Amino acid sequence: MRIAAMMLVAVLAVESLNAAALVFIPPRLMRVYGGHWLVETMEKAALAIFQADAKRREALATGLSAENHLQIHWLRVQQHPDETAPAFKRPFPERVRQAIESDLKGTVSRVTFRSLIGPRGNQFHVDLLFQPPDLPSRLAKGPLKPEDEDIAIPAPFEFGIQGADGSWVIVEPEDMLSYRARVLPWFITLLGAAVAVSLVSTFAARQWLRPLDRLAGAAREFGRTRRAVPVNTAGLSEFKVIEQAMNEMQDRIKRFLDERTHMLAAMSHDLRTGLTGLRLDAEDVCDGEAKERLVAGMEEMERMISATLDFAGDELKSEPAQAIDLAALLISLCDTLADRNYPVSYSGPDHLSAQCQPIAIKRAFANLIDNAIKYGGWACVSLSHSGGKAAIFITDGGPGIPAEKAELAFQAFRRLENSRSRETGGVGLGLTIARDIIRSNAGEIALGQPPQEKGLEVKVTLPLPVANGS
Amino acid sequence: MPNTPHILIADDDRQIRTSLARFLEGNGFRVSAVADGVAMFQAMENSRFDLIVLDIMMPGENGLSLCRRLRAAGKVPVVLLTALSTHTDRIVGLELGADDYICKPFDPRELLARIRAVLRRTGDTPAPEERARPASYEFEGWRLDVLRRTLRNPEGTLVELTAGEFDLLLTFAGHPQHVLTRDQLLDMTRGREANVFDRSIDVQVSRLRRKIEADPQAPVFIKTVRSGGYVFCAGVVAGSQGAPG
Repeated sequence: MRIAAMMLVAVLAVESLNAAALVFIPPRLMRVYGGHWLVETMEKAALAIFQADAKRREALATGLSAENHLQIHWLRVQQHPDETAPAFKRPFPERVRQAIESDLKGTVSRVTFRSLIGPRGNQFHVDLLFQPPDLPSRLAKGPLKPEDEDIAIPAPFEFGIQGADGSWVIVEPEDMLSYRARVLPWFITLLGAAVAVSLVSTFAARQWLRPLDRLAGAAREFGRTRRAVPVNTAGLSEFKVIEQAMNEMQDRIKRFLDERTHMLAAMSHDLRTGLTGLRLDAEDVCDGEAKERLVAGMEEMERMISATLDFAGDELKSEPAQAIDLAALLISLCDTLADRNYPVSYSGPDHLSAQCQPIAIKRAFANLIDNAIKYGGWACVSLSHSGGKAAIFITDGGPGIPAEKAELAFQAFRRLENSRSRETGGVGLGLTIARDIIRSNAGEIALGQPPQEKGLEVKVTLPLPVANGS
Repeated sequence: MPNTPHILIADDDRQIRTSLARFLEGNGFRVSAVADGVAMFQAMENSRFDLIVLDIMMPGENGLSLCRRLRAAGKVPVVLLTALSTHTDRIVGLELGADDYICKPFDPRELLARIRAVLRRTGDTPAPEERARPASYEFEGWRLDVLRRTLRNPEGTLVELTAGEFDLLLTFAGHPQHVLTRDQLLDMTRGREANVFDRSIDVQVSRLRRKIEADPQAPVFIKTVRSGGYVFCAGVVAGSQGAPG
């Protein structure tokens, strides 16, 4: 409906402009020349031009044009085909033609007449239709003599007078309107139409796109926060169906996510309860080695459950950001592992303030350092900052990850050494979770090769608040 | 067996009840077990208990509200078993008056250590008010949140401490201006994590100094005492329950 209305408005606007152009631009006038006057003036002009020096002829022609309200040109060569209309078709101009031809016999080789309209260079012939059809036969014929009654020669016309040297003097009526005046109305109309249509369509488009923008914004927001964003498509009644569909979809997705979270929480509870019981029963096992193996196995299962639930749950995402001491965090992680006799070292400042989600970021770095130890046996952690960003490097001496497998390594549940062996442990979520968290904290993570070429170097960058007082 | 502590286990899972009961009995406790909140309060009417191990996720009344009721009703210390490691559950439980918590699945020896620590702490001072530890300690603009186990510097920035460092600082904050020998510190901080005594107190102190001292080489808070100990030299103000972390 709206589209139809807008188009109607645009068309009406253009038509009104056209009408206005017609009304306000003065009508063209048509000149009518007297036969006797034409004969005299053209003969004088032709003689003057042919007697003048060849170089001066054009200038002379121009001068004569202005004086006599005609357009007089001198052409060295006939530039257009010589097609003279048959005499009976042009009764009045024919008499003028014959008059000039007989008067100037000797000086002038011939005189031609054409009836053309249109701007020079774009002219076309006009044909006459007589009523009664035998009108030409009733009119006086023969060259126009001075004693004959005068006749009227209306524009347009074109007389051509060929001199003895083959050059031509062309005479046309004066063009009433300058080029500019002829083109201007057309130009104004076109411009006006363009402006009118652009205005109307821009206005309409913006009106309609704004609700669509809001829709897109709501969809993006929902995708990011997974919280239902009510869509307000006020002003867009045709799109109400989209609004409804959008809101329904959000509700459905939210319900799906809630169900999934609930299911995971229930699974978690059940699995953890089961493991608790098993763990307690393991205390009854007397054989030290067997007991250790049982306990280690159960701890590994617990780690896998935790990792999967962290990945699927929302907790890590919804934690609010706070000011944390990044250096202290990394030092603590390294010290805790060193206490368990893992070779982990830290180099960097004792303090560095950053703004991020504390528990999530701790989790991300813990995953990365754990991976280093798991696959590389040792880990070197370093922290530095420059240009408003903190750079954390975690290096190990393990097999490393080739560049082409880097993206694969980040995929959920993907373990690059394909066996899914429990020797190396984990479910393949460490890097995935770490990257998720780092990106939610406006940072970036990249895998590469350490300077000593063997092993993996993980580089994490995090933005630092502007006024960083470590 | 007059002095054997009597522990009440409240958990809806039968395997946990029987296995945990067996484990605790094997470690010198008398144990009773119930499956829900109603049975728990009934049991408390009939016997006197020294400690209650309470599972948060039981059918019927919510574990946290049971905890609140227990606190209001009397002086029996409570250790919570939480199945989800959600931080909110933990914090809320402690704010409601539980004495400690542990996440399932737990290392039974760790639960044992915590039960013993709680009993030791509450054995001499049965009154709940006196038994309660402060929710926070403040010194020179630093803020130690006991419930959340966080430390903030005077600018409000979170400074991460390892478990050992946190327990050590907690001990220092609880005894400001007192000279504490290494043995005393060892004894007071042990009980939470088994690995605290794997690193000597000296190493823990030097790590802690790196975290909180402006110049770790010239410490202002934790000063070494020549006769073999340390003293926490800051003025400490204990914060009450419910203060914002």
